[in-house]
Amino acid sequence: MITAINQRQYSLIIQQNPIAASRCHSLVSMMLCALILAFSMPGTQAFGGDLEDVLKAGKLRHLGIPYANFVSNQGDGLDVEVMKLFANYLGVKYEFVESSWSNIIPDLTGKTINPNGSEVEVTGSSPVRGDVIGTGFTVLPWREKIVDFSTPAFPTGVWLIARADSALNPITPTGDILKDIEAVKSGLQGTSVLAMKDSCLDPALYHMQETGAAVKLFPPERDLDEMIPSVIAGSVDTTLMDVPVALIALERWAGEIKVVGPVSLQQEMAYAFDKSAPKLRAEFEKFFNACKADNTYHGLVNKYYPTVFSYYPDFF
Amino acid sequence: MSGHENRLTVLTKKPALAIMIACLLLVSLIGFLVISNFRSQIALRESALNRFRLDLEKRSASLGYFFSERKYDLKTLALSREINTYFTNKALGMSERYGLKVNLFMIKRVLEKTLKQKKIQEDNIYERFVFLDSSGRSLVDTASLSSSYNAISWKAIQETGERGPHVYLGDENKNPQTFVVAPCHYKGKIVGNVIAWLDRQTLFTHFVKFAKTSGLSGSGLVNDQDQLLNPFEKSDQNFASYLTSERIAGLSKTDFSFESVLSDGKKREMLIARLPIHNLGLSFVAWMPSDQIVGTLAPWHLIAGMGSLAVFVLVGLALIIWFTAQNIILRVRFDESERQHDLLAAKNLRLKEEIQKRQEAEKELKAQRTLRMRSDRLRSLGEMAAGIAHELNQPLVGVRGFAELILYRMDNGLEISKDVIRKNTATIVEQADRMVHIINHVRLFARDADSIETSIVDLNDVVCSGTSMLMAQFNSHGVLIEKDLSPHELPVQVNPYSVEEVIFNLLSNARHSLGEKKETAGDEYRPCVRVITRKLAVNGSDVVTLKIADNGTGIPGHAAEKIFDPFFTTKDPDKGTGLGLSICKSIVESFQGQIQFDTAENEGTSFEIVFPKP
Repeated sequence: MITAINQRQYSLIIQQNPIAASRCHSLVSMMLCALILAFSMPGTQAFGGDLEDVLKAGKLRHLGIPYANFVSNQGDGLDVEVMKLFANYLGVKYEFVESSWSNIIPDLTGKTINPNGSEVEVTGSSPVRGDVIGTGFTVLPWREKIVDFSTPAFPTGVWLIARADSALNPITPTGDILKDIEAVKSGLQGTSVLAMKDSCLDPALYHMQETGAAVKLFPPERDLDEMIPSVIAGSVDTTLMDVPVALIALERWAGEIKVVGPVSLQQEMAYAFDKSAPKLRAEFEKFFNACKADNTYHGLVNKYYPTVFSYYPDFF
Repeated sequence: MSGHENRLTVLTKKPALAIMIACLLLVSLIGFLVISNFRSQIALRESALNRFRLDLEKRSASLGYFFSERKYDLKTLALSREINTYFTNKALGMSERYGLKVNLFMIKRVLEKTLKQKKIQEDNIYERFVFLDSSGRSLVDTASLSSSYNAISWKAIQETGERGPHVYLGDENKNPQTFVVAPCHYKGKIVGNVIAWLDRQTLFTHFVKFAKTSGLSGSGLVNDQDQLLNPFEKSDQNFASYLTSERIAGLSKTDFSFESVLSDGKKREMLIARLPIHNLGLSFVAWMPSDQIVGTLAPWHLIAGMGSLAVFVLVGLALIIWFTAQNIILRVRFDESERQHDLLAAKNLRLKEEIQKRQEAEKELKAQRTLRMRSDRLRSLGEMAAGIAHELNQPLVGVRGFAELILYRMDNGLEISKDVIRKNTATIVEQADRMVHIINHVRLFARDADSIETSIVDLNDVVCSGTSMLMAQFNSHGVLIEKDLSPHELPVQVNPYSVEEVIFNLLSNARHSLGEKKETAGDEYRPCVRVITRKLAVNGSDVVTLKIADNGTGIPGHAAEKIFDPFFTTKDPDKGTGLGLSICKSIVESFQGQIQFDTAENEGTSFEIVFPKP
């Protein structure tokens, strides 16, 4: 906590008082600055704190990426509303902190990482910018090793989307999703597939290289929502897409795209907490269970993803 | 016939012709009105029928428009982007498991939105939507999962081969259903159907059912197989069941049909109309008792009623005219009565004025008469003066004689005894009293002769008193007064001085008559007046009579009838006023007495006065 305050003081001095900062050239100032910096480094990691830190700070920082109907560009979305309710539940202010797919875990944990299949390597540190991730965040094995997930909040999966006039034919469901996945992958030879590294659409997760398809990585700094338009535009033959986004896309670009079939088993999305914040996560679980019990969460899902009930009637 | 009655006759008879003409005109007018009203009623009946027909046509047109709108709704849904996308994606090979569920969800959302939005007022138009694929499998159903659309015959729908939206009206399993089917096309083929069940309550309430139904009236829809559907008309099920397919098939589609039915034991004529709904194989059917549209009165009933009313009005008018005439007659009579009353009042006024004048004249006459009577009385007194003087002279001589005797003896020194003095003095006093009595009597006669006060006196006393004043005067004229008085007391209720005046007048007239006869008669003639009093019984009543009879000249025949008239006299004007006998008559009659006379020329006259006994 002290380091957090020191960091804040440092930021204030640097950003709001350049005159004082210039005086750091003096020896005393240099020593003071060095002392502050020395104390502030470990404090950066500790600030993604637990429940007490959030309550003391008086605000809940929601890490999110504009994505589908979870976090919209208009400032709303399923996860935005859930986090606002959680902040209200805690009695603190809500603050949205925009992040990106490559930085969102460092922004939560204060650690830079390098995912590799189901493993993840911590490569360094970074500032902690938020208290909780809520952005249609898929539960992946490597992610579970660096963050703590809440109970599953939303069903998902990854489909292969093709342009309507694509030569790829949608598969005929067999009733066995593994066979369906195999059928999809078997037809990808010679086609291009768009994916996004370090996200739920990471081609490594689904072994896309083994299908003979030409995998193209979508720049991580761009919105994931732009991947299907790239397919429609003909930049690529197909794209991986998680089901919630695909459902929206099928409504939005009806007749222009088609679902070839699944490339993953059913997945789940959940809210992610830093492993050093078990109390905050536990408090969220209490809040979330109450939301589900009084149908508040059901209402929000119906508001943003009404079709999901058709696909996953047993999940909710 | 009086003028008044003439006037009444004119009033009652003169306008008779005008009234007759007016009545005829009125009868004609009423007849014209009755016929006009009859024709108007006929026109109204036709108008009511036309209006009912127009209303039904309007309902039929509304139904046509309503079904057209529904067909448009279904066509719009069948062509919707959501359904088209579904079939597109399906054609692309997408499966429900991986993608098509989204399309079906979107289709369901559109159908549910349509179901919710389409309303008439607050009532839902649609009851249910079903989206079917080409095999008839239900892909989307807005009803609950437990319901199904198997109530309709999908095969029948398919067999129609309709390529556009169409309306079905069915009554399968006694469950009337109205639904609209719109086929979905993809690349020129029918690949599915959208079916919408119309809300029966809304359809029948807003378009089919009459707002106010009563008794046998009702309405319904008929499908192309002539089946009637009216699921909500509870009150007219009997007639609805009467309308079998065969009967409906026989109904005219251009005009009203009439059917007679028995309702509650009464025969009712029903009006039935069947109107085809434009561009549909359906018809709108309505039935209603004809009397509810054109009324219960038949035309002949109407004209009979109007005729009766006209007769009633005419009789009423006749009565009014009769009463008015009677009122006029009464009015005229009343006016005449008023006029007579005014005339009588004027006459009365004039009469009052004349009476007043007469009373004034009589008053003046009375004054003059009083004056004359007084004058006549004074004249009588004058005539009495000699008698009075003689009466007074005798006691006066006695007084003087006795007084001179006493004086002589006293002057000559002769002895005179006290007894003689006393005796002579008493005689003097006595004679003096006699003279006082005479003087008082004359004074009372002059004062009270015309008094109306009466008292009961003895008539003999009154006669003696009256004659004593004239006795000396008559004797001096050589006239003898013989008194033959009743030995009995003769009480009468009179004023004695008035009776004395009567006696004076009669004796005075007798003296005058005797004096005239004496001038012509010889020496042997002895003038005489007899005064006789008696008490007699006349008609059972006692009366007292006083008769004064002379043997003078008598009253001439021509004057006999007028002797009691005032101012009538046979004497020279300087010797009489002509009032004597009239005064005598009025005095006697004022005491309820009667005076009558008997006369014979040159033989004398006799006056008899009769007084009632008090």
